[in-house]
Amino acid sequence: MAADHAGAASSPGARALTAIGIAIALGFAGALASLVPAVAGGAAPSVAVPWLPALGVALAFRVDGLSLLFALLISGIGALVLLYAHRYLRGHPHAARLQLFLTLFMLSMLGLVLADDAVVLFVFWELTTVTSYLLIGFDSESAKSRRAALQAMLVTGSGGLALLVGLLILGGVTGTLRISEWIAAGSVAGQVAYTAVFALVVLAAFTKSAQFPFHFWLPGAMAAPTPVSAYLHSATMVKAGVYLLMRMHPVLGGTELWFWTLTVAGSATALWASIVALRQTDLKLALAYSTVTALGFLVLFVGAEIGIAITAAVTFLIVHAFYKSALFLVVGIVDHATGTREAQRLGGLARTMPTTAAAAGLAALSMAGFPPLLGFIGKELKYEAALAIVSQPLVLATLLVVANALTFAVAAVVAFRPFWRGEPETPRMPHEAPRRMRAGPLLLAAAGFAFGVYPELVGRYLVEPAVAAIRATPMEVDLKLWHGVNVPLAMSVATALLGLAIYAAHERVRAVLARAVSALPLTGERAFDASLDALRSFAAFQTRILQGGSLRRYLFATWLVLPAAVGSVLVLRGGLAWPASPSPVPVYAWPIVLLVAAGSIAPIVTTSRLASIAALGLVGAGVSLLYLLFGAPDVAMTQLLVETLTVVIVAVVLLRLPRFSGRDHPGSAGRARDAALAIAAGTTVSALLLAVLASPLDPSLSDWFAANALPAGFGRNVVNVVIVDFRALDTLGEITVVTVAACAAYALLKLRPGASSEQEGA
Amino acid sequence: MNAPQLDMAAIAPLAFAAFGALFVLLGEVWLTRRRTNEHFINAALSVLSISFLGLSVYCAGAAFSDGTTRVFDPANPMLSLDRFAAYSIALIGIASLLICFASISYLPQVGINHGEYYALLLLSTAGMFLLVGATDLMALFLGLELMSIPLYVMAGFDRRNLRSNESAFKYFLVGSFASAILLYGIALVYGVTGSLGFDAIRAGFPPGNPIGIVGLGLLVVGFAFKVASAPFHQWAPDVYEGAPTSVTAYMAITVKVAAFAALLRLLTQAFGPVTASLSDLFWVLAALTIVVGNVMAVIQTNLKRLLAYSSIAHAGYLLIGFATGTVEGYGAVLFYLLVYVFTNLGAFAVLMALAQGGRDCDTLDDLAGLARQRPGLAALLTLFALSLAGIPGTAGFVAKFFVFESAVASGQTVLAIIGVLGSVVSFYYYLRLPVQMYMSEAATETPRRHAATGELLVLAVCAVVVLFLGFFPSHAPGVLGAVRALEWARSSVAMLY
Repeated sequence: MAADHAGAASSPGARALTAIGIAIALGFAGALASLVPAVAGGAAPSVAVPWLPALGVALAFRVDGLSLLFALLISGIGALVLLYAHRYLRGHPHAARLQLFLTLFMLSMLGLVLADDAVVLFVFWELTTVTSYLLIGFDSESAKSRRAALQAMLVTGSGGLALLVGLLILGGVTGTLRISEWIAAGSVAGQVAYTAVFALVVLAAFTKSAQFPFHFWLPGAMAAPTPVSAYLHSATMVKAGVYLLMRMHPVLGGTELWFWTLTVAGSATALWASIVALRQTDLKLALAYSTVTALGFLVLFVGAEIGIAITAAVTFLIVHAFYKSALFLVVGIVDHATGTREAQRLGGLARTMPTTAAAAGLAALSMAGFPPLLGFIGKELKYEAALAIVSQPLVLATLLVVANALTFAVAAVVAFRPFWRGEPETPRMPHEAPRRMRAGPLLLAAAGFAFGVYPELVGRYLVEPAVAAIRATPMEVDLKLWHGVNVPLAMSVATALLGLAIYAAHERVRAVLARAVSALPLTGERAFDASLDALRSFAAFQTRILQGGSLRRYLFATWLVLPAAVGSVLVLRGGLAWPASPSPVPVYAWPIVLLVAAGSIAPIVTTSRLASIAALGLVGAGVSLLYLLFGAPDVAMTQLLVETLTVVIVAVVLLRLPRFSGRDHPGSAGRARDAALAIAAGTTVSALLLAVLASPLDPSLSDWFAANALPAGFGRNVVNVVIVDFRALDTLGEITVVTVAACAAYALLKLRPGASSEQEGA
Repeated sequence: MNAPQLDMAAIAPLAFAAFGALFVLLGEVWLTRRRTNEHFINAALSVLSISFLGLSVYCAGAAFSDGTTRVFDPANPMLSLDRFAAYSIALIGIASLLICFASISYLPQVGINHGEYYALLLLSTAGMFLLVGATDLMALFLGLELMSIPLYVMAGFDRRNLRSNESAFKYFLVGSFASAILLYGIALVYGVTGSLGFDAIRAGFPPGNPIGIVGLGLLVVGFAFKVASAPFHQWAPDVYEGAPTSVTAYMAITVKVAAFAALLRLLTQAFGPVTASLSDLFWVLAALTIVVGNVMAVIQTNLKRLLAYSSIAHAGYLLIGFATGTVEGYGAVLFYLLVYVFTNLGAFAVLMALAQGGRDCDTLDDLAGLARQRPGLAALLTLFALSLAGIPGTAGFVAKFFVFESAVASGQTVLAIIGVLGSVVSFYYYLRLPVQMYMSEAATETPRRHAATGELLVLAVCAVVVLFLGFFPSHAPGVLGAVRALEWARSSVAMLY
């Protein structure tokens, strides 16, 4: 986004928020820096406040070598980015909002790396997801950035939830949620739950750190303003996954599974992204893909157990943070000053922007791995580690050389060509950036140079404690610029030569790559879109099937489930029973049984509502006749009355309804389905009734009534006595309720507007 | 015959709600005779209902802090006011009371300004109070019906609206169906135990008797209808969509609390020894409900339908707690209900505050450009959406955390993972609300009304609770933190054993 609001003054709110943000960042950086000597000496200051004591969750924070390194990078680069962003968005109507989000993000990130409690870690993990959603979607008018923000949120957010489950399982296994206690207890590789925990944690780390095949969200996230990309997508957020892997290294690392998963995923990511990076013509996208490459390297080396690999990872982490954020900021300046980020249109900028060019050059040299910059040390360590971690290092070493050569070429395309080659064809006349914007990249690039010349300081105070924390055993680290002539140096020379060759031919390589990549059938991005589409069409399908709006369907689903559930309980629990001595059906009962059966079949066959109701009435009448035959005239009477009343009422309602037709009317297939359902339900209920009959009846109540009906109630008909004598008050209440309801119904019918005129019409 | 020794304090909340309903009915007649203006009548009746509900909540609160169990008729225990009932009654009462507040301006806006509304609401609330305090299957059934029948009428309250009519009719049919199933279950349980009282059932329930298990299963199915758990959920979206928003809020919130609380009591007090055998049933119900609710919410464009599916999904998370069958799981359920009430009520209150000129705000498009016109409402709806999604920092996260944690602790890890995956899907549709409000512009700009005092009050209460429970889960003195609320919930559940 070429946000140039030159001339417009920054709002007081933006200024205040910038000042507050920078003050927070510097405060943290200062406080953390003062801890450096102690931590290097092996101390790990910690603080814990009970938060959810009922669940053993505490607001626990702990500063060890690893968290300290990350926290210093986060707060230090944070201050520079805030300063830069303030000038970058000067006069933008939402500049203050950006500064607020950036500060919130920084705090979440600090919380994440300092947390010593699994739940606290997760909470901050998700907070970085949420704040990065806000930051990526900052340019909310653009559909592209909204989409990118949502994509990043969904991918990293789902990883975060996987993390929660993984950490909870781990908490269950170890009996604590304190991360330092996990580390002290050592590996859980022998546990049954190890594979599950491993898979969940690695999923979280891979989504956050954009590992193949989840890498696609990161280039999309370049829709964010450039300071955001510099901060989130080079130095901090995307490293959170790597941090998690480093943090969990003593707990989950050291297994074959860990080694192979991380090595394969890391090297695949590094190689693939370095190829795609060269394809990009947008400088920012090229940087984004080269960030994915770097993340791949980091994951690859965290996968290994040996000290040199971890040292390489930690050193490269620092190197990358410096040069990549510097380069992002440089691209922001170029974009700001010229109005474009297209590699082909930029050239010869060093003349008009000397300071920026110097920063870019230093950072690019570090990225390409030239001595005496810190990048050179990082690269040498990587080669040394690659030669040591597998017994047959040929494949890995080749892969590393190729990926680094491609990175070399990208560095040249991004930071060398625009400044020192060709002529500008830019929309705007290039001009040097304001001082506040130059400060950040210059400082970061210079740091890469200074630490390259004096690596001992970094090695002793930052790398060594971090490596010790990751491996949970102290280890001496001695960073040196010059290691003598050895295999890694030879590989470096090969890298540089290959890189130069690729750079020289990069226009042609780019064209070939563009064709090759677009021919690929499945990329992560397309898979993401496809899975969202699949979710939506699955939802639509489900809605069509389950939610047609027709009550018939809803009841159908219910009747499908109920008999199945009840039937399965009866079958599984041995509830099926057959009466021991079934009483024979008398001859005169058979016609009634047939009548009832006919009445049950009729509603399925007929197309008339009235006929259905009448047939059901027939069933009721038949049943009451059966009651009569088996000696229960009172029950039969009640049943007959209720049946008659029901048929009459329903018939009255049905006469007012439109004809039974259209889509509500089932065809012959529908009728067969209804019949099957009815038979299933009927069979289940019959089985249930038989089961009830098979179990002994508790006779106490009926015996009591039978014994007391005559002496206490002076009646022989037990049911009558119960209704009018034993439960007389209940009966009175019932009658009252029915009367009141009848009055109310009458009043409603009278009140109905237009009731009288309709009666006249009928 | 001696007069029974009745403890009137045990039915105080119920009595206040029921008498309140009668007073409101009489009050409406009395006020209408005097031909004062309609808005005044509506407001007066609302205040009357709020006062009665306030008394109920006060009684429940007192009973809760008192902690003793009061049985209405000790000789024939059918209804009691204990810690558990007091917790549930307070929750239901507060939710109903807040809905009355929000209704003062909502009802005139959509043109259904009739006094019966409050009477029906109070009657239904009385039914819920009865339901959660019932210790006898008959009292339970009475409570369920007293809760449901006024609701059928309320769903069709906007009687000139065909959708509202359809809603009422469907709700009535499905509701009666559910009652019938429940009654069948009661009959079977009575058949095997010979009693209806919870204590007697607990003592006499023959373990392993298939008929008893079928009866218990049918009882659970009856409740599954009421809480809209899959596969008995289909009515909910249609009914929620058609009913007026305030009624939808009432149905989605209080009914769910009452039905879940009653089910919880039933499963612990009456069926405690055999509940473990239902674990699989709840597992299936929970998993199905989470999947169906979350997946189908994805394509909704109607806000009320969206919230209906969301409430189905939340029923699924709650059922996870039931599948654990542990005190921790049930405690997590009660806490979840607390959070559920305030989060949903907040979301619905925003929708109610956006209704105007006889129209409900009920499609996603109606939210477009809200952030510019009413930034406060947009921010609040975002907060509630985030809490529904369970983003850390909101109460929704803490609630989900407790439930998932209890599931993992009791070995139901797969169910917890299903729940988490469901939450991932839910991010997608909850985020559409802020995206719509902040990132798109309305096609035609109609000026929006200002939210009324009652609505603002409800929103403020809900926002404070959601933030406090999310941000201050600690024991800070004087602060209502999640820990204290969870302790309340746990002590309420523990009392049932």
